[in-house]
Amino acid sequence: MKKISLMTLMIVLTFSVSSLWAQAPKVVKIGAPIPLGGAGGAYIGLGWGYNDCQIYLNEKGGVRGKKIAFLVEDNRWDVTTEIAILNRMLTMEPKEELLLFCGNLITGTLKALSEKINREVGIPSIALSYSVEMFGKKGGPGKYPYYFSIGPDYAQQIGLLLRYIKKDHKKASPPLLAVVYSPTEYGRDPLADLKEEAPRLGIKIVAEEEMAITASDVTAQVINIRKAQPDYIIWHGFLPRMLVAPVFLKTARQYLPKVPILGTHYQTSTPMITAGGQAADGLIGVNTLVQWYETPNPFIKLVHDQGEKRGRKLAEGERFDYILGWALGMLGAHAVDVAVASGDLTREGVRKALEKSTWDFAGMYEGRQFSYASHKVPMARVFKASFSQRQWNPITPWLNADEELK
Amino acid sequence: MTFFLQSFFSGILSGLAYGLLGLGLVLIFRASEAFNFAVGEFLVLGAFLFYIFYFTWHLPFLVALPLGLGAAALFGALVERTTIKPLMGRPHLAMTIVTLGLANVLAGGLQATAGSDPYSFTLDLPDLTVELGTLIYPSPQIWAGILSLVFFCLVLLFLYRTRWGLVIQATSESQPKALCFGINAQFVLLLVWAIATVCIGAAGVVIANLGALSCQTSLVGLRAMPVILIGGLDSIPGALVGGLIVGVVEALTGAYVEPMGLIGFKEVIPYLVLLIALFIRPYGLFGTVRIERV
Amino acid sequence: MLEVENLRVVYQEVISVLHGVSLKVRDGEITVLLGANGAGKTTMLRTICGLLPVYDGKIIEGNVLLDQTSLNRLDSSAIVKKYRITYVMEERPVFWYLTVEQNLKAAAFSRWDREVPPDIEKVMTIFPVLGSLRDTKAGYLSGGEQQMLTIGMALMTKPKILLLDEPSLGLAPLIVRELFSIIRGLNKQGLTIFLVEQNAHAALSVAARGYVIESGRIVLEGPAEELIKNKDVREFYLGAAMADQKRFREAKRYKRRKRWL
Repeated sequence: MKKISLMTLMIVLTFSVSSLWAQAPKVVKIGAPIPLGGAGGAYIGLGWGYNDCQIYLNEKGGVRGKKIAFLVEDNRWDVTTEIAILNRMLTMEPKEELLLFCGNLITGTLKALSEKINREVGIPSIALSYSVEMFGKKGGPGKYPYYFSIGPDYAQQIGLLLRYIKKDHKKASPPLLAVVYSPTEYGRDPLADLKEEAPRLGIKIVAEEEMAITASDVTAQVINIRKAQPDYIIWHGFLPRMLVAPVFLKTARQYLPKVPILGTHYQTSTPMITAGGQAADGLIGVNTLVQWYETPNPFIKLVHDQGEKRGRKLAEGERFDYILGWALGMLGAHAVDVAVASGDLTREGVRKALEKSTWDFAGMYEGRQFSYASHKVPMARVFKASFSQRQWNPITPWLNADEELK
Repeated sequence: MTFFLQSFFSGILSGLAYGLLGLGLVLIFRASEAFNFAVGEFLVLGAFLFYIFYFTWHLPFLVALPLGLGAAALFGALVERTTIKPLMGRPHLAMTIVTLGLANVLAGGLQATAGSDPYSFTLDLPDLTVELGTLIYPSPQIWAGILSLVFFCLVLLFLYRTRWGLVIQATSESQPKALCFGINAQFVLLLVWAIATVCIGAAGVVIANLGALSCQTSLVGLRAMPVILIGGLDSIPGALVGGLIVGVVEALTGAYVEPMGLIGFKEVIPYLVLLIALFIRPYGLFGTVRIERV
Repeated sequence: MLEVENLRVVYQEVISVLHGVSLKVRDGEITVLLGANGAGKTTMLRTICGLLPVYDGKIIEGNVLLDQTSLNRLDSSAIVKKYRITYVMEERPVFWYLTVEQNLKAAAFSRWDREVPPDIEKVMTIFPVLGSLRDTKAGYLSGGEQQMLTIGMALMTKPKILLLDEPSLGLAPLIVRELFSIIRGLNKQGLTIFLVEQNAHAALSVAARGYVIESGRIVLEGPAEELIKNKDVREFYLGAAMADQKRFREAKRYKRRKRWL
């Protein structure tokens, strides 16, 4: 029911906003596919985040006079569907109005569309994926000038985890690591880098296991891991709403009760604690954004206030996505802002705006500003899950991945 | 060697749960001669009904389990009344196709009501973890095996030692004959569907306890297909044997074959075994061999 | 009295099997229905005991009346329990995978009371051979033994009217004789019996009245003694032709124009 009403609201909102300004090129459209169905689960909070951000921006008269419209659609966490949606938007929306893609969640889509975007369409995209291929050493602005990310790439995130392992490991022998990933583009993304980086730090990889995202039983993989007797497990390539995530956590906790499990950004969210229950207690992970309950943070304060203004009642699991929606929305708005200020409100203009500007992200990173030249925001923190508090607590301050990983 | 034992017994434990699942399907097949394609959805629904009693209303396990399964039984009876009974006298294939449609309806309905997120599902049962040296059999797995076995035996006791069980056997063998002797075959069918749903629901509860509960858990229901096809569609002991075979084969494949690079093969292997079994004994290992005149 | 009035029955909505059949089964008598294969005898019995829906059949006209109460719309188990009409299906309906004793118990299910175990013993006395086969699965019994078990099971439901569908089918003549003497004995104890048979000899020897059905229509009725002497019955059902043998061509049924009186 919620999904249907969200969709209806989105469609109505989009149509009304865009049709009212159909004549005047005074509206900037931002394409924003989100997963609502499919194996990734429903990111309702993400949709509301876009929605509320849009209202907030337009309430103030838009960004330098230009109204913003987010075109939200359901990509069912499926590459084919998302490509279809983006292609449709590209053909249907006028070039002057559709200036930005926001929040492509799937690494696979980025890869598939990169050629087309680079050569023909030239529309900048802020991805929710922290793909190594797009943003890592081998990719980056040179190869993918139109892709931007809002956090360190997965290899950098894992790099942070590896350094955490080094610090945490107390035994004399080198730390033994097991790697668990999903057989998807997303899952396999950082593996190559991981296999290079770990030995450099003196960490030995003793097991690599694949777990399908639709698996309901992973006993065999966990038993295999147990055979290798690792000291740590890193897992990547899963979303908290996939059934396999809590199944894995539970099984791992039963068979390997003392081995810490560390994850990348999308494994480190509140829905993971809700789904995994007791088994999620003590999980460690990297997260690139702020948490809902960190109220002193100015960005969170903005989100809280706006959410209250709209009477937005979000379930625990949806808040993580809500923040994400706001983060992307605000970044997109900022890009438009700079583009208008420099007088170049086109796709190229927005892209240059993203690249060249330095911004404090509405205060999210507590006063630090970044240049987006590397197309990434290199900030992240390491968190630990507490089941009793139902939240993730940061165990490191804001780490700048570019500096930490030298 | 320990690695083998670890996987083998892990497979036995999960095989018992599969056996219980298969039992539900066999009961339905014997009585209605229909293959219940909605087994996955029944599984999830049974687990969800139990979830409401145990997790949402915080009733103790021994109260929540009968209530939850009782609700599942009512649901099974309702399904029988609305979808199967009107088809009496029609070909059995019709009933099977109806269950296909039912599966879709239930899947959609479940996702609409419960959402697609996983629900944390951990039963607060006494810890029975067995640790022998490097072997470990975690408590939820052991409980899955024990509870499945208990339910299996309860159903067997009911079928073979009570009056009602006798009548169910008779009606399953032939409805018209039963009708002639005044047995209310319609009610018996209802009862069979209710009991079968309880079996499937109980299997759902123990399987959900191994991980979490979401609409995706219904995919496990498909495992029941090779279980009963290997054991014989109308054979009760066959369900147990088939379940154990599938469980062990899956576990051993996951342990030995998958590391060789064939990821995901353990999903496939039960069907391969099924193929081989059908070549040897087309009616299943314990199925009733039909004498056909050609 | 069990009465059938102008019964028209179709299968699967289009196959018409009974075309307006009327007959009466008087209390305390054995009434027999003779007919060849496909004449509609089994359909008649199924209709009376309410089993038509199982075979996708329907009464489209007419009535089945027991002492003026219509049985048309009733459920078969109600007919057995309340009106005490038990139908013994053709081809010896026993539950093959249950033992003899279990079969009898299952048959008694609808009226489970204290009397059941002694009733089982009573059946064993009527059919002594069943006593020695108590724990054998019914599927392994010979044809004659199965037939006795079937009737025994029917007796367990304590019927007032027994519908027997071709009990002599496939049985050796000696067994048939034994069977029919048991049937006669049951009738003497007050059981009304409606017997459907192809073996006209045996049937007419125990019956009081008879009907002949052909292609879904009753073509002859009368007391049993008269039927035995009837020329056409003798020729078609008893296998005895008269001295003045008709030529084969004239004997063909469809050439007959004679109305049955």
